[in-house]
Amino acid sequence: MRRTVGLLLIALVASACASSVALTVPPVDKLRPAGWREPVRVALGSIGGEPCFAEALKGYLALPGGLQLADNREAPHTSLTGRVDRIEVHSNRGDKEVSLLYFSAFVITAPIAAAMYGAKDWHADAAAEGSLSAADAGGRVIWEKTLTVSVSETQRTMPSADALNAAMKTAACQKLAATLLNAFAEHVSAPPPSR
Amino acid sequence: MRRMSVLTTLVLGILLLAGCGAHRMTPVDVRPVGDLKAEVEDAQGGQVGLAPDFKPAVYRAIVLQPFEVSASEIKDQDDVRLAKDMAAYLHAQLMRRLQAAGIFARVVDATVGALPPSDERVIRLQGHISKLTEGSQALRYFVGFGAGAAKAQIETRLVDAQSQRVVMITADRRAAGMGIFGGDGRQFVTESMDQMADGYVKLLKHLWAGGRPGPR
Repeated sequence: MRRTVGLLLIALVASACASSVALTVPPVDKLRPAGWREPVRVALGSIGGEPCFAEALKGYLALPGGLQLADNREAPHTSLTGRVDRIEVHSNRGDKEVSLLYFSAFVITAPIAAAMYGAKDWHADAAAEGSLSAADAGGRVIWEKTLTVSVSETQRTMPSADALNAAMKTAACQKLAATLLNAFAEHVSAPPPSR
Repeated sequence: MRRMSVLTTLVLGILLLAGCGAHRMTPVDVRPVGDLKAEVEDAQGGQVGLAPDFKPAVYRAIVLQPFEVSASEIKDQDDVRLAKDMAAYLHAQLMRRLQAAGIFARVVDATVGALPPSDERVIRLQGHISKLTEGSQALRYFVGFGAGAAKAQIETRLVDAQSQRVVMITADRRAAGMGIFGGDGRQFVTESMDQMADGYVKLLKHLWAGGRPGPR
């Protein structure tokens, strides 16, 4: 009887993991410099590393205003190339799951464990490290930047490990792409240094 | 009777392990900046040193510069990654809290760009992570009593952007040595960063409202 109850609790915890997670971390806003009368058109060259970075760059450039992706008919202001070198996701979601399973194995402590760990938040952080560089029509590099960004999330839900990793990776890629492109937009709009 | 004691141990174990985390410690080897020494113990921001003529309310814009990790804390490639990640993590936490606090009309992220020139008084937040270690999960689990503890210490400077004079310094430190099966060092370090960023922004809010560092 006890064994059955324990197994049932374990099965319940294991099956309760949601296959998707909605993060509360807001995306980085696109910079739309006030002085620009027209959007600045850029071309995307080689973008290396995880595909989510290239997708995030395209997503940013597709938003209205500021930097825009040049189409085939117009000459771009600059050509952007870059890569994401590393994306790492860390969370204690697994610890919460293991603790819940461990203490649920003892029938007497199972309700306490369910109450305590069920009501405990998990925390995740993701770091993305990458670079972006801009070259003029002659291929001369006019700007480049390497950056590490971080996003974090705290929730009480119980997503699956895959769902959490995918959501955090996407958020980190989005932040890296938006921060690098915002920095480039800031560079384009900055007045030239006075002599 | 024996069953009762086993049950009590398990319940106590759950309660104990669920409640552990990073806790504040006295910062060590804090470097003074000019005449400023971080000597006043603040309830939220750690140890604080203020220039006597510092008038916080005149500053309506803040520029947050990226923090760096002291070279002494980096010994291998894992440390390099942790240093980059935690500097970015602390930066993001400070940025988010500064924007939410409503102390400043403008909060500028120096990783994106510079503040355009204007007449308003600007303050720059600079700093470094002077101690950073995830510790050892094995030591925390098998030895305990502080062995293998995860530790983090930050030291900050507020600099007047016009005069480049340092008007405030702080130092804050956290350590965590107990968790489920020794606990995850990275979680301890991120929790420490959360706590220190939170405490720092609360200190700024207190100062900008006319308060002084100290107990509250």
